[in-house]
Amino acid sequence: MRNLYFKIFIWFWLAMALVGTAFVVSTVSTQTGEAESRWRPLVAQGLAINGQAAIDAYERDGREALAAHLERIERRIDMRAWLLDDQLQELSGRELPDGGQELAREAASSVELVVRVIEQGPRLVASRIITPEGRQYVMLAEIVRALYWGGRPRDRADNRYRGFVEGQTAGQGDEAALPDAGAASAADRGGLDRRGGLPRGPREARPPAWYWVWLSLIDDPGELAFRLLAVFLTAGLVCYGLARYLTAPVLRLRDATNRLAGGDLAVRVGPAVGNRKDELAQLGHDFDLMAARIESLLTTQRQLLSDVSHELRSPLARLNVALALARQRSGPEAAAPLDRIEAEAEQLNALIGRVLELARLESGAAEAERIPVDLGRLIDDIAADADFEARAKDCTVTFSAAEPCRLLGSEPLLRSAFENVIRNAVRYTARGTGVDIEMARADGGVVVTVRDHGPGVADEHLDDMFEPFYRLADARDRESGGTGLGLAITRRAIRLHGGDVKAANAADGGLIVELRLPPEPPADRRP
Amino acid sequence: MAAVSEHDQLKRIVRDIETSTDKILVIDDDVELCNLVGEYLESEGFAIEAESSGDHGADRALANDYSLVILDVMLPGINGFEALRRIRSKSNVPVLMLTARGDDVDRIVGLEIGADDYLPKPFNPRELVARIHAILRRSRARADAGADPPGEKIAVGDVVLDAGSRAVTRDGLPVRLTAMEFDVLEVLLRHTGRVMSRESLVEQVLGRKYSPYDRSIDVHVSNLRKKLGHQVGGMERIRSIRQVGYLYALPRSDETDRGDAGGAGG
Repeated sequence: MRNLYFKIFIWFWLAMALVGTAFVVSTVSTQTGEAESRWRPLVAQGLAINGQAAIDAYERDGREALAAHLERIERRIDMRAWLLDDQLQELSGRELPDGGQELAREAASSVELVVRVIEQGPRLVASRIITPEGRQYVMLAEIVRALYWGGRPRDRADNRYRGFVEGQTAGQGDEAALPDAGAASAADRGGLDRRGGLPRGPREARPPAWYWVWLSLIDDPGELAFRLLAVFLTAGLVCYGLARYLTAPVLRLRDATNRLAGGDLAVRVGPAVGNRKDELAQLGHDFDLMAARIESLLTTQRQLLSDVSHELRSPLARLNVALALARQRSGPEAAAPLDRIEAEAEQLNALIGRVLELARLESGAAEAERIPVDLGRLIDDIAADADFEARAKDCTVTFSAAEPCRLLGSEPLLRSAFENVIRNAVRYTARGTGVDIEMARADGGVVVTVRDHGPGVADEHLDDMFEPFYRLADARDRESGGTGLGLAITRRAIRLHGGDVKAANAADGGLIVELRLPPEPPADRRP
Repeated sequence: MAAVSEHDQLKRIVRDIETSTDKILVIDDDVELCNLVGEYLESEGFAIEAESSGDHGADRALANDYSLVILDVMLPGINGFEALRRIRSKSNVPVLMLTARGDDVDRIVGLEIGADDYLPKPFNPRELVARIHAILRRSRARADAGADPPGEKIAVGDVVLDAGSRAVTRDGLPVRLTAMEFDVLEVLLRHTGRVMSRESLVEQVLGRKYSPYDRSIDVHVSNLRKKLGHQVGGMERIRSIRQVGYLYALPRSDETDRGDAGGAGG
């Protein structure tokens, strides 16, 4: 549940949030950049107009008139201004702001507007103004931040801006000398902010995008945060819906798969997926087809197994009775071949039983009802029976368990698994020796070892002996009554319980078969 | 009252045994097998009738007096278990079930419903005859016991077993047991506090040699535990003794006198 849903949600959210943030950032930076290109000529124009008026006042009426004119400007549009002559001497007698002198020097040799940003304070702009008579002045002014960041001209700043450009033109009818826009210029050499630690060489033309974002954050942190928050929330909401939409049918499919694996063959997801028409709905549809096919296959197989079992055994049952009749009616000379027929019939019967048992296990048709099984008692019972059987060849079967062990499993399957191994050991152990069975806990599960004192098995055949019909030594095996299927059944039954079987040769002769079972059956194998 | 009619029935069986051969009903859909089994069993001195469907077979088993019914599990129409249920609802005639070999479930279900024994199919006919004789011996012994008036009673703790009427009560309440369960309980009660080996239980109750991997006795004991309760007076009622057999727990001292009396009676 957590995984796919969580991953889709987080990844999509992250992606959308990144895209949104990038969009906001780029908007802020380009907007500011655009604003700069918009306000620059306007500021230059305003400076030229106001400057020309101030020059007129100065040339006509001298220093006092200039000072009065500049003060009027300051009062009306909240802009402090200075006028410098070609020797960069302030003409009104007002004190220059910090950096004003240098900026004016730069402006004097530049055809364009020169800008300097001062941290938190006003922006200084300066422009060279050449009168129609050919005299050169430098107009220096502090302009308000909002005007400078003209991206969102509004409120007071908006009015000031308009007053800056329009008010003066209206007030002074004189013809303005615009800065020589046609003249080629390298770039504006506005030394930029000290604060951001920006490279501020004289060639620095445009600051990088993040710089604008940074300034915008200083300028109006609330707005930027609001935009980003909106991006995150919207993306989160959309991604939540998307993740739910994608994972809900997957979860339903998973649940159905589990139930199918647990033996509920009638399970279908069709109705649960609803009216979707996408790939997931198709997957659900395909799942249903698969489940239907498995159901029909398993039903057929069960029926077939049952039929085969019945059909193969009926003739055998008749054969057995007919054989007994033949015994009654024949002389002692027929006894030997009749014994042989009986033994072969018995062998055939055992084989049919084993084949059917294995087929049931392999097809999964064996209903594996999981109940708590006392493994110690189970093996003890088998050991007792095996011991009884082993007495015929002077052998013993001993069982020792370190501690009791209970696990969830199918008792008939486990009984069959252990019985096959133990009887196999009794069959091969040498006359007069013993078969030792030990049960111990290991790795949270249980390990049962069955050790005989027989000839053992060549190392290269240790794995093969768990294959169906694998015979190590034909004649001997058949003579000893094996069907070649017992160990295959053991392995299948143990694996159905999530365990495994291994065989090894003991150092001092004999075979050790090790059966390992986990403490719990594999997950999701619900009944 | 049911016990009395059962006595009568068993007495009749005893008379039949004395005067005529045992009549056996074989219910199996394999007609040829029925013929062969009939031929074989007749040569062994039994009288055989055959029926090939479950419902007819059950009706016939109830309508006539048979010494024994051989019942196949796999039958067309109603299966062997259902037929056994019908027979058991009205009659205690001994029933030998033929089960699919290796099918533990069939075997256990059959014994639980009240089959007296089972034989996996295909079977060895000599084994079949041996089982038939064993079952008949038991049922004759029961009939003889029933003929003894008055019935001997064995009381151990909260359980009272009436060997005459073949009735068992626990705390005064009747407990319904199958014939085999009754016999197992009787043997265990007669040997209260002593270990009974599986071998001797099989020989005494089922009347045959013990063979390894034969779990019928365990099924009967497990049924007994279910019906009588696993515990008595804080002790396990019927204890499994590893590698050996079973032991019916000796009751607490205040009740031992009756238990001992019962034991002595056995």
